[in-house]
Amino acid sequence: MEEKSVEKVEKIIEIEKLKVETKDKVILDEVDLNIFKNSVNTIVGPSGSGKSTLLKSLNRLLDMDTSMDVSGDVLFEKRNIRDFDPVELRREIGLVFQKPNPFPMSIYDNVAFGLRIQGKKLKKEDMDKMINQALGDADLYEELEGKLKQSGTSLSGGQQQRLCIARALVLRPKVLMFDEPTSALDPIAKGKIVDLIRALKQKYTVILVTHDMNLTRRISDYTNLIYDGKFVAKGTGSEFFESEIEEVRTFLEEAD
Amino acid sequence: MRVTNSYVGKQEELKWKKVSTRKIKDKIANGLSYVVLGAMIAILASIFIYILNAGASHVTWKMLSTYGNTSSGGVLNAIVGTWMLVGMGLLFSIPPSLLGALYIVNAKSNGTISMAARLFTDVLTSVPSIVIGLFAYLVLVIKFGMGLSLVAGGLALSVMMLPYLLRIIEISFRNIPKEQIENAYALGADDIRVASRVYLPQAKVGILSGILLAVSISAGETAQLIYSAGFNNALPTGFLHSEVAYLTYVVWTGINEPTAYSHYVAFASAMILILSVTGLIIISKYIVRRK
Repeated sequence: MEEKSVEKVEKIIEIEKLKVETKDKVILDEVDLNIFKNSVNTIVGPSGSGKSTLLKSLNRLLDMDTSMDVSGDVLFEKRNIRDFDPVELRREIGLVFQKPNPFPMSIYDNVAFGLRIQGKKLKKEDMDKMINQALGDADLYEELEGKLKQSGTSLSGGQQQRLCIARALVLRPKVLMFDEPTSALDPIAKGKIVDLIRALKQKYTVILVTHDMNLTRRISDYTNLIYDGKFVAKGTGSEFFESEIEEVRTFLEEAD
Repeated sequence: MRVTNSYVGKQEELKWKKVSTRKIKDKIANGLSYVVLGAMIAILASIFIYILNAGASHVTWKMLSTYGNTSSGGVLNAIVGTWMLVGMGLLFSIPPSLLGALYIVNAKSNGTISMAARLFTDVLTSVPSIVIGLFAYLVLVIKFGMGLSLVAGGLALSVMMLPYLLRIIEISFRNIPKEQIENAYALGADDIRVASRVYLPQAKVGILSGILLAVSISAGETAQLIYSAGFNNALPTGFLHSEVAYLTYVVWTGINEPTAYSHYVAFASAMILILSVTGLIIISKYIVRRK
């Protein structure tokens, strides 16, 4: 079933024999994976299977951890990520974490954080425009209009998570990665994030890590199952769920 | 049925006994804590009252606004000198403490170096101040030719301030959620931006309380300053080769002199020192609580 239906879709990231290991454990074992442009690319798998490590290796956040040894290649738009300045790469490949964690500053400053750290002097009007655009893309603008001076930490969990999404979107990344974005949220907040991710794929490439199979069923275009650091199944949404591969069946049964 | 009842009864009795023993133990522990707390307050209060009694009535504006020797002059030189030395100590200890703490908390740092830095600062906390003074005398005053001076005194104080500052700043940095640091990196921040935009603003209360603690500890130091700052009946005229006065020295020498005025000066100096340090501690507690 491997990628037979996706040959014509443009690949934005190509992972080749990526291996991540510590002194005593192999976390990702020479994995190969393609990430397709303007699609929701989902990585599912049990806890500890290497999903989050994979995300962090794509924007080189793993460089921060000296205990991890990384080998193999990741090509972003045909260029090896090792040839990028990590700071530049992280602006191109945004990451939204599992737990909403706005900085203890105003909503405006939270969204402006990424722009300000670039050191570029933006005019106030341009900055405001970009922030409003990002808040709009994260479906927050209407809810928070006129309240941008309020602290980001005073928002509800769901709003905080969308604020974190806006904070990543303001940098206009090409790829946006979500690490279990709904696991800390209530069903209503979760529903909004799901709708948002679905809308975001029009403009961005989405990589979604989750073990929520309902969420995967609803929004995933390409689903990849990782087990003990290896991909055991890859396919488009329907192919994946109909797959007869033993690990897929077991995982789906356990997840349900 | 009877068996069950008697079993339940025994269980109830045992439970009651356990609860009552626990309550008695709790009362004893509470009582002991109050006794210890009361003793500590009594000791501290008696020192306060004694010094205030002995010093307060003799403090005059002239004593605070003039300088000279302890048998006839004021203590302006010692008040100014103390804060100049403390300020100099902070100048030399804050930058390395901040950089050291940033290094230790940075995930990319070499673990062995971080561990060595922590061990080194822990050891430094327990080095007697007279040893630091002697070291400052031999190295700074003699070897580097600074003479007994503000810079040598400030450096000697900074050696003592450094471990406290480093440890408190490190703890303040570690209190920042790890996810926020990761998030800042994920948004494209480099190490310098993460330090200036995340670590420093979020740890500022901790850093400030660390500074106030270091100030209050170092303002009461004498031993290392005797060997590094000397003493001066006037204000220092420069950073090097010009001795500096400080309040603890006035307390020490004033009380050993035979005139009543010298004793007043000593108690007045002790009072100024205690009140300013208490003030600083109260301010730092207030700042931390406000957070």
